[in-house]
Amino acid sequence: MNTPAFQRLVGLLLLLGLVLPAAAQQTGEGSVYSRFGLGSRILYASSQQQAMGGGGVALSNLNYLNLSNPATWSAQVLTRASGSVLFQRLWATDASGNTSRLGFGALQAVHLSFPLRTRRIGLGLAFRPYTRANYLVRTSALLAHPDLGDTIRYQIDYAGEGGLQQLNAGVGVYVHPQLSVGLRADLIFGIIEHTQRTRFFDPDLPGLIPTEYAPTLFATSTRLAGVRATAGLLFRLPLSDQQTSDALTLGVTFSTPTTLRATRVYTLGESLDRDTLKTALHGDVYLPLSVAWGVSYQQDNRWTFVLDGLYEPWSRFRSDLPFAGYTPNGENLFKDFVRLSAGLEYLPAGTDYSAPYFHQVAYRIGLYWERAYVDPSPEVSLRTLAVTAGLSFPTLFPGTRLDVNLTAGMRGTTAYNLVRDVYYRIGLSLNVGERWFLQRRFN
Amino acid sequence: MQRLFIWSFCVLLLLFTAGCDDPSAVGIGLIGEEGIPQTVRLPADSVLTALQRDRTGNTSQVLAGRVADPLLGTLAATGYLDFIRSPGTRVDTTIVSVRLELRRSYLYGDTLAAVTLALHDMLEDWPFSGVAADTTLSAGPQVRTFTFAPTDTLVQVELPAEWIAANDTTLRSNTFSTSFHGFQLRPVAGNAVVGFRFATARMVIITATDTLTFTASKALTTVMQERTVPLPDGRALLQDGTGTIVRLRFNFLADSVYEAGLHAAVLDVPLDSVRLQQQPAGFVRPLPPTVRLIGVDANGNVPLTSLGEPVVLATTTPTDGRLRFRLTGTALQALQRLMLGETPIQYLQLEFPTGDNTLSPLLLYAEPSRGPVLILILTPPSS
Repeated sequence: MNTPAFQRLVGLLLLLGLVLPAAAQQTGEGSVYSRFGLGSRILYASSQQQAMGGGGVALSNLNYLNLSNPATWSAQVLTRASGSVLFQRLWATDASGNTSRLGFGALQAVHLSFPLRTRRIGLGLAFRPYTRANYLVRTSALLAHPDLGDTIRYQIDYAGEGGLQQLNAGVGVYVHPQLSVGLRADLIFGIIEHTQRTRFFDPDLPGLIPTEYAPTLFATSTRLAGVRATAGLLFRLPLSDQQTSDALTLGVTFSTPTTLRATRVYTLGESLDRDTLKTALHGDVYLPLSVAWGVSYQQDNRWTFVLDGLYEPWSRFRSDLPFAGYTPNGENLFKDFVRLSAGLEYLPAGTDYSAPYFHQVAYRIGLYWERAYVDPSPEVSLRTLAVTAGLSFPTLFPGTRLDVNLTAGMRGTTAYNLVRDVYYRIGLSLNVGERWFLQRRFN
Repeated sequence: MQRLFIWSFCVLLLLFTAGCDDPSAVGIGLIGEEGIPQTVRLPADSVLTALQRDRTGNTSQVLAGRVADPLLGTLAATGYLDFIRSPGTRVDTTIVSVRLELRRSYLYGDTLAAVTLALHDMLEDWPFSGVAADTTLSAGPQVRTFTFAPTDTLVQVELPAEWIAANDTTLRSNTFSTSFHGFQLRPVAGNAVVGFRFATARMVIITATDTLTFTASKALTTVMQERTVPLPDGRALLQDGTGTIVRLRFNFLADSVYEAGLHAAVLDVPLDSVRLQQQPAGFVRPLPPTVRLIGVDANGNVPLTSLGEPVVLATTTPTDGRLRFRLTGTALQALQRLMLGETPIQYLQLEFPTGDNTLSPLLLYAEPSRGPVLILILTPPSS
């Protein structure tokens, strides 16, 4: 095993584990649409796929663990670990032309995988987001209190933090030269917190905080947890007898619907000085099934094309607890979630490891289209269109790559009292591959 | 070179994401602008009067006299003053005269009729710290009586030659502080209670060669309610010196305030100032200079600070026919905890600071329609 490389990975993971959760706590600086439901649906399968439109159910690559399809985990050679971080800038614009500029950084995902039998059976573990609630809307106005003889400026921050995470553990098995299957357990858990912070300022001296007025912080925290299973299939269709790497691959996954146990707590106050309001609410939240399909085409170890689709019938979502856009036995703005994506990767050097450095860099582009699972306005569905791109740099350590991804997208519209988000995201990912579990041989 | 390029590239990308956030109201239409601070007027559920032991020792003034208030009844105040010899002073020669100098700082009652007080010796040491106004102390023989106009700002009382002769040794003694126990000022005639400023009360000793001043070392006022008058309907009396206090209870379980976030609060207590201003010619009924608001539990116990003092939520001065207590800082936090039921405090209590020591009354409206009301700026809890 290459000790320095692995130490670097451990260092990176420690950094991600310590620093980025703290950064994530400062969120509340993403799209206001993440206020609805359980937060914005987040799909992350690998840094390679992130740069190729986010899809890749049928994509198998020795340098990456494809989290979207456990069947691809059978084809592993190295013990592999990765860590990814995400930074986002977002501009939200309303019909009046007003704009918010917001940014945040967060840990995207970490994973560890290794082959039990090379290219036959592989195991994988991953921690990655399922949904994310992070928005910040600030409103301010003057408030006159004739009873008190005061006029005061108040400012209210509506913010969302947290989201659901998923912990994946599964196995991929090579069944036949043209078929692999995989099975994965997904523990979905997390806390979604919506806060409302009210502060007061002197109307004439905005920096002056009047002592006669106390700020308040209301928080609604919902803790959820549940387990589901995901099964995946991978069909390989070799296209040429001579070029064994050329193949058309079909992939499909199915995730079972599941029930999350939910507990909701209302609090008033800051951090350790929080007072619990009302009584905690308990209930079930029923998540719908998820079906994903994909096609990939690999040619000459240089070109890779992917085309994917994902369908989740969130219109069947049920919950004992209300969420924005959903009230038990009442309002239901949930719709079926649909995602389509396509991507392309070009690796000039192919498998020629003696090629010039920049020939060994992988160049990726992609795009995706999404229809969100909540329509905040019944008149129009909430859609996202984005383009992606990425570079994958080889390092001095074989099997280890540094990926840089870029996503630029647009979500929503300024019509129907909605807002249009324009955003770009930068993802950094370190993928480390090592050869572990080698049997010692003695002469 | 290649590694440098990669890291430079990554840093540049990260710099792209850096920048000042500028959150705004964009998207507020999707949230609904819930939780705008509101003003809620919460009237007092009940206005209860109670008696507690008013502490009158070592206050800023000592009271003496009797006042028959046609609105509120008759009160008699008896004052006690003790003196101390200043360090470095010594009575060396013959004492020519001794007089008390008392500067008036308070007047309640008839300003036209003279007031007569009797001056008695105190034969024993008497307590003053934390002593209640209804304490009874025994006094020694009368030294003399003296009469003055209640509007006089300086009252001088010459002590008789017999008293000087009898106390000559004591006045010269190095142990004057412990062997002399001061005077009692007992009401005899008149229709007014006057207050003498403790800090300026002096005993002046004139000798053949010098004039020495002994300053007041301790003071006490005891008050007796000699006659009561029924109050008008729907009124509550809050009177300093008598131990009367008013307790207000509010329904913090009301929908409008239940589990709300508190931003600002004012307790507004309307006063029946019209009735208080109805008084005979020459009669003065001063308003108390300060009223304070504290929290008490269901049994009337006052939670104390680590220093043994009650947690004062606010103080105010009667103005424009009302008391308005503006709660700020920790007082707001205390009220917030009261609203959430997370404190033993059950009532808001109106009382007087022990330091002022007056007999000044306030007549409060106790009817729900125009009684005390809490004006709260709050945010209702999110649904």
